Amino acid sequence: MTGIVDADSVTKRYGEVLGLNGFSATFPPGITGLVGPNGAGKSTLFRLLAGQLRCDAGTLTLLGFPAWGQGEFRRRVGYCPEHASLFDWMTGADFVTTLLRVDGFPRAEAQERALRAIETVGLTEARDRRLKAYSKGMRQRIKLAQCIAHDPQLILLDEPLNGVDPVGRAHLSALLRQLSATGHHLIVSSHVLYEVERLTDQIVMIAHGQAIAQGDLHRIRDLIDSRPHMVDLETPDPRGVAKLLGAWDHVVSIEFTGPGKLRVLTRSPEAFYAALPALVVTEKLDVRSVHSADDNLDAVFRYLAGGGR
Amino acid sequence: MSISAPRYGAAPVAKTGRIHRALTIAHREFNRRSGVGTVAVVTLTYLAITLVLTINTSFASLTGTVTLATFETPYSSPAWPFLMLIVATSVGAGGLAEDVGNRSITLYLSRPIRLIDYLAAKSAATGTWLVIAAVGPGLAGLAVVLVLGWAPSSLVLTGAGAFVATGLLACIFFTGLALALSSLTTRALYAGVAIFGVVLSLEIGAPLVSGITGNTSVAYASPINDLLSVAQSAFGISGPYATDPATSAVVLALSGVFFAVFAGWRMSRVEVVGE
Amino acid sequence: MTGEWTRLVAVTWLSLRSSLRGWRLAGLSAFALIPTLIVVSVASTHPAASTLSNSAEALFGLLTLPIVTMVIVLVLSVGQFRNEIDNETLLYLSDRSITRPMIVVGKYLGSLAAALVLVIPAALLPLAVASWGGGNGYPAVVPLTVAAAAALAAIAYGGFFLFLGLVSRAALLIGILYGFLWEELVPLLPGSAPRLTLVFYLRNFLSTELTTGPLSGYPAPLTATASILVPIALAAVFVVLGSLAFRYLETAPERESA
Repeated sequence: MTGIVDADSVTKRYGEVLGLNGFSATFPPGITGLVGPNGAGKSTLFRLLAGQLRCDAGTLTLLGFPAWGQGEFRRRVGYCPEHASLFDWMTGADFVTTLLRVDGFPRAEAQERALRAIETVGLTEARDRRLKAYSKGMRQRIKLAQCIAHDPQLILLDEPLNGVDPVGRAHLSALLRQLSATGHHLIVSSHVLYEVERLTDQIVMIAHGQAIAQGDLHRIRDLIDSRPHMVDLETPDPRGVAKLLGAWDHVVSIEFTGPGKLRVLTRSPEAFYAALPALVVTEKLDVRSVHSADDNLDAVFRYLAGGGR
Repeated sequence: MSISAPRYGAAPVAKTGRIHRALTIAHREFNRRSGVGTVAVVTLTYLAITLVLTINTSFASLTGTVTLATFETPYSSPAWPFLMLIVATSVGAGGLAEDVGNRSITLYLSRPIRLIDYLAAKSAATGTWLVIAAVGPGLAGLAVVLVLGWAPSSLVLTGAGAFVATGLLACIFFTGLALALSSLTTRALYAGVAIFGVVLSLEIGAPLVSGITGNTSVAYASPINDLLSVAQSAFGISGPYATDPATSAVVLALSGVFFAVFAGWRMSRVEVVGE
Repeated sequence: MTGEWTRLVAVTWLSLRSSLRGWRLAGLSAFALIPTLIVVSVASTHPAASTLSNSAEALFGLLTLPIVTMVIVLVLSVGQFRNEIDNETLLYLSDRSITRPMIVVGKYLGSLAAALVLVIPAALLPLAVASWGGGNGYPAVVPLTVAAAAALAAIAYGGFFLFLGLVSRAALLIGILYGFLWEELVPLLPGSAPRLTLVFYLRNFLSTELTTGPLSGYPAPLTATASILVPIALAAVFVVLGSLAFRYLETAPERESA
C-alpha cells in the first residue's frame, strides 16, 4: 500500500458495537471523499487518524507513520473535526494562534500564519470576536482555519460543510479545491454524495464499518445505474395505473406489493419522475403516494454489497 | 423522494396533567442518579447508622436502660451530616448543572412543562435519595430493635418520629443547597465541590467566630451544628450545642426553602446559547 | 529544544488562562476570601490582640489549608483533563505535534500557577488583616511558612488531582472523599497511618518552621526538608503516572458511537 493513508483490516470496537469492522482502503494523493451513511464509521476512522482512538486490530498509517502516536509528523497533518466544541472564551485569532504555538511555532510566526488562515476562510472581520459569539457556519470556518494554518501536507475534514449556508458552502468548496491544487492532500467525509461529487472524483465508500467501494466516482455510479430504481406508489386503482406505466420503455417491471400498492422498477428514474405528473393529470389518476425506495445511500450500498444488507 | 397525502382520522389523545409530567421527570432523574457511587455511599450510610444504633441499643437493653436517648447515638456525631453531605453531592450536584451544560433543559422546557414543575421534579428526585439516606437507616435500625424486642413499641415509634423529623430537616436543607449551587454552574464538578466547600467552611468558621466573639447567633450559620442540635433535641437530650434546637430547625428549613427559591430564580434567568 | 519549550509554554499558558476566567475565577476568588472575611468579622469585635493574631494563624490550619486550598486545587486540577475530554477540546492539543507527556506537564504547570494565584493570597490576607486590625504583628517566618505551606499543598494535591481527572470519570467523588474524608480522618489514627496523608507532611512542615503559635502543635517527626521533599516527590510521581496514562488514553468522548 502506498497511499497517503493506508488502512489494512482496521477494527475499532465501542464495547459491543463495532465502529470499524475490518476496514481496508488506500487513500490516494489529492482529494478523496469518504462517503457513507450516518453510523457507517466515518468519524471513527477520522478519530483514529487524528490519534484520538487506537485500533483494536489492523494497521492504519498516514504519511507512512502509525496513526496512533505523537511526534513531529503531526505537524504535517491538519484535522477539522465534526462535532468538537471550541474554546469559547477565546477570540478567533487567539484560538488559531494558540494552537500554532502548541505546534511549536514562535509567537510572531504563529500570529502571522493565524491571520493568513483566518483571511483564507473569510473570517478577518470576526477574528477579534469571541468564539462564543460565532454562528455555526463561522465555527465551522474557524475550525478549518486552525487545521490549515500550519500548512499541513494532509488535511482531514470531517463533514466540513455541515451547518454552512449555501454561499459559505460554495466558498469553502472552492477553498478545498484550491488547497488540493496547491499540493495538499485532503480526505473529506460526508454522508451527502452530491456534496463530495463537486469536490472530487475519488471516493471511498464506507458502510457498517467496512469499505465497500473505492475509486473513481463515475465508475461507481455507473455500477449503481446498471440496476433499476425502485419506486413505490399507493393508489386505489393499482391495476389501472400499472397498465399505463407498463407502456413506458424505461419501466422494467411492475409488482403489486399489497392492497393499493405497487412497485415499479425503472431504468431511468429521472424520466419516470418527469413523466409521472403529466400522466396523473392527463389520465386523472388517483395516486396517493410516490416514494423512491432506493434513492438513498443505503440502497446504493445494498446494491454494491450484493443485496446482502 | 416521497409525496404522501395527509391522513386525518385519529381521535385526539388525552394529555396527562402537570403532576404526571413532573413525576416523569422526577422518575427519570431518580434513576439517572442511581449510579454505583450513590448506591455505595447510601449503603455505607445504612451500614454505619444501623450498626451503631443496633449495637448501642443491644448493650443498653442488657442493662435495661433503653431510652429515647439511646437511639440518638448515630446522630450525635458529625459523621452523620457529613455522610448526608456526600449523598447530597452525589445526587444533587449535577441536577441542574448537567441539564444546562448539555442543553437538555431545552428539551424539557420546550414541552408544555412549567419551570416550577421541572424544579419540583428535580427537588423530588434529589430529596428522595436524601430521605432514603437520612431517614431510612434509622428506621431500619429501629425495625431490628423492635423485632428483637430490645425496646417497647411505643418507644420505637417515638424514636422513628425523631428520625423522620431530623432526617426530613436534613433533606430539606441539603436538597435546597444542592439545587442552588447546581444552578450556578454548568458542571457538576464545580457544584459538588462548592457544596462541600460551603458547608465545611461554615462548619469551621461559624463556631470559631461565635466562640471568639461570644455572639451565639453566628453559630446558627453552621448547618452541621444546627442538625446535631436538632437531633439531640428530637431524642430528648440537652446540650452541648449552644444553639437553640427550635431556632436551628427553623434556620435549616428556611435556608432550604431559600436555596430552592434561589435556584428557581437562577433557572428563570438561564439562557441556553447554542452553536 | 526551542520548539519543545514553545509547546510547553503554549500549553501552560493556555491552561492558566482557561483556569482563571469568568465565573470560575469569581467563584474561587470569593471562596478564597472566606478566611479573610472570618478574620474581619472577628476583628470587628475588637478582641485582644493576641486572640486576633492567634485566631488568624489557627484559621490557616483549620480552614485555609484543609478546606479552601483543597477546594481550589480540586476544581482547577480535576477539570484540566476531565472538562476538556467532555468538551471535546482536548483533541485540539492531542492531534498536534506536541507529545502527550508534554501536554500533561503543561497542564499541571498551568493549573499550579492558577492555584498559586488564589491560595497564597488566601493564606496571607487573613494574617495581614489580623495585623492591621489590631492584632500582634507576625515575625517574618510566619507569613513565609504559611505561604510556603499553601504552595506545597497546591503542588502536592495538584499532581494527584490532575492524575485523578485524567484516569477517572468519578474524579470528583474520589477527590472529595480523599480530600475531605481521608485527609481528615487518617491523621487521627495512631502509629504511622498519618504518613499516608499529604496533610501530615504539610503540618509537619508548619511545626518544624513555627516553633510557637497555634500552628506549631502538629506532630513533626520529620525534618523540614523531608516534609517538603515528600509532597513534591509525590506530585512528580503523579505527573509522571499521568503522562504514562495519557500516552495510552483514548480521548474521544465515550458517547460517540461512530
